[in-house]
Amino acid sequence: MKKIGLFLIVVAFLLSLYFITVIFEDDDPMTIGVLYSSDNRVDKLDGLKTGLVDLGYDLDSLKFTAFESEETPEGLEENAKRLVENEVDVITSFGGIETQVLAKVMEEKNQMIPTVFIGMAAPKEIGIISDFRHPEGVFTGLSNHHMHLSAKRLELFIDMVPDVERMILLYSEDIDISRHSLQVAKEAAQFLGISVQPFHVGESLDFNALEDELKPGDGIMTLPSFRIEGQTDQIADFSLYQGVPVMGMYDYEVESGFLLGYGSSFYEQGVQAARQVSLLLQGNEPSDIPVELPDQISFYMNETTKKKLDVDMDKNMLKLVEPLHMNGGQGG
Amino acid sequence: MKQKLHSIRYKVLLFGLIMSSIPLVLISGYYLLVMSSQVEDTAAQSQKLRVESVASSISDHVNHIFERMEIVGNSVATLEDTGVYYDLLNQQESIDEIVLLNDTGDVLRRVSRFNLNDTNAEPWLDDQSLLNELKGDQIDHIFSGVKFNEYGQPYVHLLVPVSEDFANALGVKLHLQKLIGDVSSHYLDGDSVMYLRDQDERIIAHQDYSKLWQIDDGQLSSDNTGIITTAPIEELNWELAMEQPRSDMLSPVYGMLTRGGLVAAAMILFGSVISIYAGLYFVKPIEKLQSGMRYVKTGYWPDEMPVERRDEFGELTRAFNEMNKEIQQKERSLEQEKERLSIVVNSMEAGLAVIRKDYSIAWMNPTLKGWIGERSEVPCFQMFSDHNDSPCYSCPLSETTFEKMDETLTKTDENGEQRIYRHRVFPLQHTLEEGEEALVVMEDITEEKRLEEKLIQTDKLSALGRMASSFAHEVNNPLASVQVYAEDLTDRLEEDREELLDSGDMDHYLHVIRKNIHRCKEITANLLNFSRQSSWKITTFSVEDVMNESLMLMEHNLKKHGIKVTVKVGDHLPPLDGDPLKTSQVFVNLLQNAIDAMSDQADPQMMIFMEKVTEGVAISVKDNGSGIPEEYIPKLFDPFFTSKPTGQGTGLGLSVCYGIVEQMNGTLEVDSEQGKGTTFKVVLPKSRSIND
Repeated sequence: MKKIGLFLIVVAFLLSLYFITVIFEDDDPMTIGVLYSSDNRVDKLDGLKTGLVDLGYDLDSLKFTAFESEETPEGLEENAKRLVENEVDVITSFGGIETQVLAKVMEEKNQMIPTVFIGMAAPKEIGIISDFRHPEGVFTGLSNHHMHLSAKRLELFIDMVPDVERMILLYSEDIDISRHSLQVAKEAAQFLGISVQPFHVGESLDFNALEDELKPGDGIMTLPSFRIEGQTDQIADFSLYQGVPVMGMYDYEVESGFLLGYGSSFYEQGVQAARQVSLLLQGNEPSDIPVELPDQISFYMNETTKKKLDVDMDKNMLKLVEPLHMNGGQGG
Repeated sequence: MKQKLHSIRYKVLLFGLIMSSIPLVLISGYYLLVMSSQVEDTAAQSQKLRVESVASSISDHVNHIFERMEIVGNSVATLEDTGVYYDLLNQQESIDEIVLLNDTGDVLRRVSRFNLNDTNAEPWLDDQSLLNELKGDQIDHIFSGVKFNEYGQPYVHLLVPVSEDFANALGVKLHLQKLIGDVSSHYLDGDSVMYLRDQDERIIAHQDYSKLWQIDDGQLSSDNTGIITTAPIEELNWELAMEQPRSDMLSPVYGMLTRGGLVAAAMILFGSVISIYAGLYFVKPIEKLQSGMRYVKTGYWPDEMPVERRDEFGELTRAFNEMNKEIQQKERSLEQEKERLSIVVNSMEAGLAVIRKDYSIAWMNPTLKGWIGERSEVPCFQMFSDHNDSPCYSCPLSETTFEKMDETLTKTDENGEQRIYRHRVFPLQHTLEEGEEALVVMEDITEEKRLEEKLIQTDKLSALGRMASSFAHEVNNPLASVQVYAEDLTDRLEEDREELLDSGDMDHYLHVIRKNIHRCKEITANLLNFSRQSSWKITTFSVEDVMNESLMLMEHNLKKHGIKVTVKVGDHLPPLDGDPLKTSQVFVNLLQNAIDAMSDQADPQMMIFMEKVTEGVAISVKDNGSGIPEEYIPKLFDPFFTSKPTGQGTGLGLSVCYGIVEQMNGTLEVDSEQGKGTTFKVVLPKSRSIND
């Protein structure tokens, strides 16, 4: 009798302990899947986390499942499949190519997961969304506006460096967004009265051909293309070596040696996209959340490159500039 | 089942469950009440602070832009310089575009963040009234309603006058994407929502994007029972609101309640198991004892129960075992006693009956049944006589105070012989049936009475024997006188007959002779009377007369021993009920004892007192004889006990006296001091015919 009683008490105690442990166990954290194709885009993840914290989230209550791929469509697709199979609550795709692959995979698997793309140049033109205000489907996110900004960047470049007479536009013919951006830039050049020379960039940039193309008074402007982004350092080296100013989009490009850059930084894009991730986590439908344009577009200039190239710059335009230094992060 | 629920096991378990749950429930309830109120207040304050903070942030932002625009607008000289615009664009990230407008709304200068700085693009203002209002009312600034660009991004136009004459205006296109996004995506718990209403009551920011751009007609609230806090954004005539459903507000309490409830349930489970164990631990020995008691109740004596504990239950089990053993022993004793009693009752010669208050017979023993037959239905007073219509005269059942009764009654048996029965009634304190009041004991004392009569007679004959010589002397003396006078008379008749007749001596002789003959007759009559064998005859008599007759019987003996007798008689002695002959026998015995006791006394004196007492009459016979040794006194009234020399006493005298006095409901006491004398005191009750 005593042994049975003691056994019952021990069982009851253990059961109570188990119940109490279960009761006070935190709820399952919400899971955010992350898909990105190159490590330079990891700044977006940092920005995303910062943005979520700013909105009042506790990062311990969130779980990030990140998949990084080599810049090959096959590796990206494989990771996209794994991410979709992971049954995350929300997916964040860190670029246009990632978003396109993800859309394809979800379509194939017939598994639609709310997705926030962070930094897509032309989501509507690519067909990821039907409308900025009412995106439809499972995608919403942040358009970096780089396609349309191609016109503005061209304008800012020639306003900032008045001595430039012709712009060589680096683009990738096989990439939709790049091709569209070229078209926008061409139209802007016509409005601005400056001649432009498109230069296709394939798997790798043919610097010899580019050098052959180059003339005095030329400037180079990169158009959206992950292939071009992947050769940032070589382009920067070429710019300094040839003494030709280059207009890019991102802060890291300017830090690498581009003279100018106009666009939204990966980090800021991540911070901004946190709002949409938050809205999805709160239960909104992606189709109800408008696709946003960047809150912050910065005009970067590399002071070091400026000195090296020794180019004249418009003093009024300098008011808009955010100076950076070579390989050293943001300047003062 | 109902009986089970009343069992101590279920009560203990129920008690355990109640004690495990009620305190927890009460404490939880108390804290829930207290916490609900506090949480509600705190949530309301927190919500107010939150809304005011966000609203203030928006106000400050817009206000700051207006201030910057006014500064720029007042610097007319620099308006041609694009650096001013770029500087403003750089400082204010929410400005998409800055324009300088003339009084007709044409764009004089344009600096855009996203688009080309094309001054010839489509009209910047789609509503000229805004500009007119700014100019007409000469106000510091003005703003448009919320509009959308080609990408669906919301924005507003802000306008400030450029110069004092209001000729030109500086306008900015302020995008609301970040503002709306910040408000909408602000992390809020549960179903709480924060939203922004413009001046047209249109929702321009909301946690639930499906509600965006709708007119707030009051139907958008998710829970009208919650708290709605608003804060104005006066710069744009907007209003920021936050709704927090009561359920969300109390969600920490509910969470705490849920968790607390589950913890309480776990605790109750734990407590219940302990209670069940404790209950069984405590109840088990009780149930074992109860089982043992049931066995005892059914007449089966259980084996000795094992004592497994050292606590009170162990003590109780041990006590039960001892009690069990003791009860078994007592029951065996009781059975034996019962058997003995049954044998005694069934075999005793006395008849026994238990009588109820209404005189009906509850039980009677075989002896009584043998006497009266199976007549248990008759009242007790008709057991011996069908003619008795009422209870006995002195029946204690009729009395308020119940005392035992002891009387004799007679019944003629089937042989026509009259039998004497002693009829006693004893009150019963503990009875088997309700209403049983008394035990009637009927004893056939016919033989006893006869024996007693014989003893009395024997004693009387003994007394007569002892008095025989006295009688002879007593009779002899007058007879001698008669002889002398007769002889003398004969002689004188022969000598001188005539003179004897004439002188009158003849008469004198005859008178003396008659007197002595009368004396003889009286003596013999007394003797005959005393010696007569008679049964009890109750009459009313004078104790004084009986004493005088007794003294006369003993007169010779008293004289012979030279005893001086003093008789003192009190006034107004009441008559007594009883047998005067038997009473005389008592007195004769007492006188004889006194004479015997004073045989060696030089100056023997006897004092006889008769006085009236409450009960009746007290008769004391006191002598100054040798007294009675103290050790003899307890045996004094025993039959055949005597301290007299052999041949002087039969040992029946005092025993017979005691029997006679007791039969007359009187008392006989002795007070003796060796060497000084003895006093016998007889108290006899007065006649019932005398009223006090």
